[in-house]
Amino acid sequence: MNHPTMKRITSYHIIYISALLSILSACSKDDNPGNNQSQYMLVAESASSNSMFNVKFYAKDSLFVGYNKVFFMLYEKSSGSQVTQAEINFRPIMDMVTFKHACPVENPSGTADANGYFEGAVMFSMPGYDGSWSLSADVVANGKTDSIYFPLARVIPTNPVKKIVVIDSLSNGSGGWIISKYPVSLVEPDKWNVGNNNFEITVNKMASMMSFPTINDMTIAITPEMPSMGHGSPNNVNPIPVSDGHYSGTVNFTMTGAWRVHLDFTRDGRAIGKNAYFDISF
Amino acid sequence: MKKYSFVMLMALFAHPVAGQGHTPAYKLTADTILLGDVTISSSIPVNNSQIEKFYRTNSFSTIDNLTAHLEGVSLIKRGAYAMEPQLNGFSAGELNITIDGIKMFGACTDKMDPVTSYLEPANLKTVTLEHGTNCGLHGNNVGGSIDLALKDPENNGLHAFSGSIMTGYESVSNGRNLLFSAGHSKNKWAWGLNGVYRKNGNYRAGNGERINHSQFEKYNFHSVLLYTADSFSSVRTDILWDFAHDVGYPALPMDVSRARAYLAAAEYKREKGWYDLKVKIYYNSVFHQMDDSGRDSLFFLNDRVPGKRDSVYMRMDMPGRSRTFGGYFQGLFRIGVKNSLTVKIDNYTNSSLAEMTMHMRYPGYPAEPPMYLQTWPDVTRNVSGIFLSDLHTFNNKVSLTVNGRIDLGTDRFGSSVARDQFSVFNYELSRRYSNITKGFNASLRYHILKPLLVEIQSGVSERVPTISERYGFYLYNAYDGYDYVGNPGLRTEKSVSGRTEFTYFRKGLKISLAGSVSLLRDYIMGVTDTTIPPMNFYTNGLRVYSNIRNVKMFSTDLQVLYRLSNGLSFYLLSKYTFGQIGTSAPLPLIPPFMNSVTVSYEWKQWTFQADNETAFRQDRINRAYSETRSPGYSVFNLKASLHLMPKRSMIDVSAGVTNLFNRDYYEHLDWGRIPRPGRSVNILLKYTF
Repeated sequence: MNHPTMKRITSYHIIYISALLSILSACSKDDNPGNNQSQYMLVAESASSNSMFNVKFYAKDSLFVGYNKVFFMLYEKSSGSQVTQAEINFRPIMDMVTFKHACPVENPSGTADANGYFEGAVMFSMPGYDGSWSLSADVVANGKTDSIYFPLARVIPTNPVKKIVVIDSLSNGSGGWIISKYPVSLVEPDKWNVGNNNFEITVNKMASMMSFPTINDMTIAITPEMPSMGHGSPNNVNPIPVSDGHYSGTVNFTMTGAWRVHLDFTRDGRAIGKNAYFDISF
Repeated sequence: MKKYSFVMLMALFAHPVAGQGHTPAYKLTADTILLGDVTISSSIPVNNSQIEKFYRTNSFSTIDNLTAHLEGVSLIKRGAYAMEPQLNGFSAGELNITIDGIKMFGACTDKMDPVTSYLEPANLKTVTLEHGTNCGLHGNNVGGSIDLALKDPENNGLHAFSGSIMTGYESVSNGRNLLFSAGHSKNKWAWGLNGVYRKNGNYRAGNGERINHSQFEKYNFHSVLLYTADSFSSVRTDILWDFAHDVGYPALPMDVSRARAYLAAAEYKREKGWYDLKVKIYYNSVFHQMDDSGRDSLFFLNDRVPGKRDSVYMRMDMPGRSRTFGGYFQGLFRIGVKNSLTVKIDNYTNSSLAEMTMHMRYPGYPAEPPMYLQTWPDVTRNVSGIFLSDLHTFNNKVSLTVNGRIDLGTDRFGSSVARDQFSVFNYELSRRYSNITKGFNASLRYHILKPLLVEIQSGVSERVPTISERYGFYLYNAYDGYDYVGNPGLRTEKSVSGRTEFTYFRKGLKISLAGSVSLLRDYIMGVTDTTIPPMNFYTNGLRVYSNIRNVKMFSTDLQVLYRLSNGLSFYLLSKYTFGQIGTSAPLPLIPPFMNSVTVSYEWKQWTFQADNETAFRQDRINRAYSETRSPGYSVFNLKASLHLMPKRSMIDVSAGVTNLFNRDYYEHLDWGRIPRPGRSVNILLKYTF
């Protein structure tokens, strides 16, 4: 772990928290409780390519490397009325000039929530600046098909990381190796607490640069540790599959501070990831 | 001193003639030790004058020296300061420790601040002990009670304004003491103030070693204002403030930077012929700041970088707060000549919160985020109780006291922290915890022969687990090196106890032999849980407070006082305690057989005193509890004092040597086997006007 950067994380956290607080306070100042438009941070706003829809793109936080909940709000451009039924397919792209790649996503269900948000997720795999990451989406609603393109100003790295890649190297028996990469992202709760915490991660497999199918047959063991104190905690529950690509368990923290949750991955009876961990500070 | 001794003797022999008419034959309190002004009581115990003298001639006796000389009392020592009293093998939550009925609880999760540490002998008038289950006056409990009554306004009758000033020096710790007391009485008003300042450095043990972190400095003030409205009723207010800082605990990895307590109480009393009434309300607050800022906080870690030893700095802060608000009504009603009924209704509310924050730092890196938890989650305990006691006097030889008590206690949480923290152990905490406890006791006093008195008492009682035992979260115990975790599912600890005491008195001789037996069910103690990993790199593991099915305890003490007419007196106190878990395992932390002998001689204005304290080795130990054997020891002390009475004032000068032969020793209950102080020369000067 890179200690000198520790300080930076904390200041990031402070920025996140203060951003969140200002959003919340703005929200509480709102006279109309039904109008929860400012519940999330507005990342971008644009009209779709064929000018059928206006799309507002929200996130909980600044976009970061890892599991980001993202929210679309759709309006019919001609009438200005809000769309609550739509099929949205995300297409994130990282343009690295010489080549392009995508990252795992979770597309929203066809129905917006009570506040009009279509909720999905994007698991950015690396940081990006000045539009190197973009999020496009195909939108089908009210019998119309259109697409939208959002260049992203910033996808920031976090420290500690909230996304890891578990690499499985399997000998092919003739001197070569079969390499499988599994991006694993931490689905952070709003707040970590002393006591029981839901510990949720997503697991995908990098089938190609553009394809990341979910993996639902991984066996995962977690072991929390407080590295500086040399102790762990009792009664943790290993994550098990709860929904497509999602695994959920319980991690117990006996105090605040810098924790490390070690992860062991087993698939097809083979241990494939060792020494993987997420650091969690609160 | 002469005059004083005379009164004491009077008091001693007043015993057999007390108990006529409306005066109850024998007071409920079994053993009252008078410390300050002499009041004639029908039950002056055998050792009170000794205690009094010990205190008078040695201002260095903190309250610990005093309590150590009470029958059945031993002290658990963690440093030079604030020892925890143990009565017949019972300690902490198994004892009611009260200040004239005032409930007060220490704020340290490591029991470094028993309530007695916030008092000074100079604050006290009497210490009253009750043994075993017969302690219902102050709450249902299993081990007994120690009630410390605060001093009345000083009035030596010489002047309207009177007082004394005392200063002393102790060589072994370069200790300096300053004590003063003042009293002023006018018409119906009387006011008293006393103060103590103590500063002790690190003491030197018998082997010449300087015991680091054994220093302390403390201030204590007590003010009492008494208004006597008429010959029946009075109103009294007490304010006590105690502040200690820089208190070292050599047996612990931490010290106390500040320990502060204050107490305020108001009391109304009415004593009129057939009834005595007392109403009291009180509030007290304790703040205890434990930290390791005075220690070398460098630790070595092995596996940070695999295969490499790494050094790390860790600082720990552990502040604790305890606040208690309460009151009681107590009435004594004399019904006919044969019965006297005591009724007490009381209630108190205690709030406790203790936190721990660890700050970790690797050399060359910024500090890690603080590690925070609450060792006592914000919890409020409210207890209401009713106590009834009837003393029936059959004749001037036999009297029987029957008493009973019901307590209703409820614990509530001030935040969700307790719930969150205990979720780690898969506990689902309730929003509140309630208990009803019951106690019932009977005691018979029988003057078999004119010089022989037998007192037999027996009863049942139970106690609610303490905040630590129920909700404690990673409480480090430096004795066994384990972290303790509370158990909200604990049942009450129940006891059936019996005590017999024989007292023989004739002329200058008084012999008292007592034996107590307690059979405990659901005894509360920590049991190792290997499924929970240890919390930090210096703990051995984790223990969870649990109910042990049965524990037996037995303790006996013998006291002999022999006072010859030529000024020579002899005093012996022997105590022995035995404890057993189930059928064979010894109960840990039981003191060995101990014996204390004092010989004193009064000649004109001089008093000379020599005493010896001897403890046997303790072989009955519980290895599973990490207890180790302790060798025996024998220590001698000498004292001489001179009492002068120039015009309308008194001067007392005394000098003494403690641990005369500079023995290197420790007691079995001392944590960390830290040696006790070596030879020390004390001098003391007191001026009374």
